[in-house]
Amino acid sequence: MSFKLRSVKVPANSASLEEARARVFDFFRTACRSIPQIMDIYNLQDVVTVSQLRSTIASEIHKNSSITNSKVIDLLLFKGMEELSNITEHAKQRHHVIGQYVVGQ
Amino acid sequence: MASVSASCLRFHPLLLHSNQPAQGSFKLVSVSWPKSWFPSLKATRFRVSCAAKPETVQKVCDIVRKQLVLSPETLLTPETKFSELGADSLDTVEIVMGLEEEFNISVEEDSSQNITTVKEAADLIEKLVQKKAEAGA
Repeated sequence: MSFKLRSVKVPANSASLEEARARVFDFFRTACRSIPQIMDIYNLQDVVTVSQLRSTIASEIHKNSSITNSKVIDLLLFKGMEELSNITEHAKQRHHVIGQYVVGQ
Repeated sequence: MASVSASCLRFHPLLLHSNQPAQGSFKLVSVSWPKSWFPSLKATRFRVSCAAKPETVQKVCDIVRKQLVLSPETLLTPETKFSELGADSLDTVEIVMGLEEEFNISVEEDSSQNITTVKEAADLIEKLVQKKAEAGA
């Protein structure tokens, strides 16, 4: 129920870089808090640990750290949110998740 | 006169138990306050003086070390700022999330903005663990 609410949110329109930064951290926190649920859904307990997934998410965010246009950041956040909702509502399958976020980082 | 000396005596066991380095300042403060305030004083002082238990600080240090991939020789005191260790803001948020997971607590948005040193993180953790224990019990 909480995931449906997440994806329907209106795309953010950050006024400044600071606001965009705050949104990025909120997104990161939301993602980290849903990691246990993700591990449960896809049975990843033997494959990865929570901290490994957390650092994967952090590195994905870090890849785009040089961007200064707040609108671009908003769009990236929207896509990130979309991806997170897809994963948490089991729209992906185990091999997708493992291939994209566990192996080959 | 007698009451003042009694209050001084009462505080010595407290100070011995908590093993705080800055005992001189506590003694100075306690003498001037009236006797009736002592019970609440004891509770608040305990919270302030034992705000960062050594094991908590140690655990926080370990998590920080692992997160920022620090070499074992890097000096890590409770006062070190995360930015000094080469962590940017995302790393700080990640460290806070790691602490959340480790101690099974939930850090609020506003509180996590102010965490810049190891000591602040440990203090916040102590406070939240205490609150959680009170709520649970």
